[in-house]
Amino acid sequence: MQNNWPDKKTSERVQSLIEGRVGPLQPLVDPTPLSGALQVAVIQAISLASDGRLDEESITTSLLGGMQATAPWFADLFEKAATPAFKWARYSKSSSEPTGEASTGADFAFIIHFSDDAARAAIFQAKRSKNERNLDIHQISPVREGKHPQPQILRLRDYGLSHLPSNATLENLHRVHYCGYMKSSFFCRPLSALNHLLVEYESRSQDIDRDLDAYLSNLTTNKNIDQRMLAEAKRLWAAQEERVVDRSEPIIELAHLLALGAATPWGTPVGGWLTLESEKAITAFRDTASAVMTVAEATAGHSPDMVNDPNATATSSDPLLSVVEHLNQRAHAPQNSRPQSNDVPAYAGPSPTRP
Amino acid sequence: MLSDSEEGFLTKIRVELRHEETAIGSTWLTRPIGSLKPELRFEDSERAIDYWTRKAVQMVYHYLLGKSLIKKAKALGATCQEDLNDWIDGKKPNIPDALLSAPPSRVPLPSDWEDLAHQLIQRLGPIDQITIRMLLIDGRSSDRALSACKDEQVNAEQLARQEDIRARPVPD
Repeated sequence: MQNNWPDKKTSERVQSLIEGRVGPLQPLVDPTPLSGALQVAVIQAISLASDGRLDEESITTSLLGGMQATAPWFADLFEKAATPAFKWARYSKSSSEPTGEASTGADFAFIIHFSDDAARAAIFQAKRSKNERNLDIHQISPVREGKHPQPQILRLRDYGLSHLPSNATLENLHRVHYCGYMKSSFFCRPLSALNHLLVEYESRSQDIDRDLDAYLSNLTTNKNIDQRMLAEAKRLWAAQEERVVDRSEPIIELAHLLALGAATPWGTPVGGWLTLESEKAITAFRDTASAVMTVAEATAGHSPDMVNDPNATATSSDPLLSVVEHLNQRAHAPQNSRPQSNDVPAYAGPSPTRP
Repeated sequence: MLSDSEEGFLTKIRVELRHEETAIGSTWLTRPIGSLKPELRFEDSERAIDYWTRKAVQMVYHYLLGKSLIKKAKALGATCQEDLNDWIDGKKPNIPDALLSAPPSRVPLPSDWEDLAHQLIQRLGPIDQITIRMLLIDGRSSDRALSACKDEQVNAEQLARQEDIRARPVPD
């Protein structure tokens, strides 16, 4: 990894590629081929979803598929074929295995590799918004791994914490995001910014778990037990049905989050990302995440050289331009509105020891 | 075997951990002292320590977050404070909307979190039976005690000032 990466020439070329594909996007950081590819893919996915007809799973598929298509297009314009590479593992969300979105609360994860023993990772739960103001996040996940049915947000929190050392708290969950799909924006709100809501859910959970224990012990038959438990949990959690996540600070656009993760030089802390500092930690994260959700992986690259002119002449349609305009406005949002890097040590492996 | 710091930590949070060899292999059994719940089993001591560390950290975090919510509600006015109290007392299922839309609290884990965990367990009982509501009520009591103490101090100062004024010689 080189300190002068990305060099000026590369950034300028990437910038012109972005402009050719989607319009004059103002860079948040000097773009690298990977950050350019990811931003283009996000902008195109927003544009695709802007008519509001796709559901959240279709949007996620088009987003990750778009990345898979765009990354090689950018990579072809640089000498080293490995930059930026892109690969992904798929997991079927409909599986009834104990692992999966129902048990983790998460939809997909993203890993950006800087070397064999250096990577950044983030976890996302996608939500399609019905309006432009907030996300309806209340959802009860079914019985899994001996757990009663419980709100998805609590499973997402537990899964996020399980990847961190034992002294981690919600403060450190700035790398686990609700990703809101809106017509003009895909925005991320980290769980660390939802601690007031989470404490409300956790407090209710302690009461409701007791009620579910009592309900379970009073059941006279095991027939449809999981479905009945789920129905009872939904009834008990009804008071939380109106709970939403506002599209308020601190939020970060998905395109910006990916750009920061891909283009910020290794060694510089980046909010919103988990730092994986060994091959063991990367493998452990990949193995556990890919067993339960879609995992997209990309290689950040090491100062590649340009080999030819892109001749990128794609014309931007109106939805693309409005997305670019929105991202440009967000690029000027106050720094403190972005997720902050936090003080927890990097993830060291699957069995963290007590500090 | 456990290190001194691990043993010290378990003592602080009043948790017992014992090793047992059975026909099917080795296991570690653990339970807080005074707890009515069944013992938990772990494959190794490291996992058991990890489990209790996470429990203790989350307890301290929720306690501090609760105190921060109480402070924020106070700043947002009497209605918000009353609504939060109703939530803490279980009269309302939700925290006030004003708190939900307020900026998130920053609650860094203090370096002496183990000592704080120890104090909470001493006051509230076995760690596996401490609920968020208990932590919130405790946090509210300490906040009120602090306020009462401050009020007392203010009253004492006012009294002293008044006595001082009275004691001054009356000008001719």
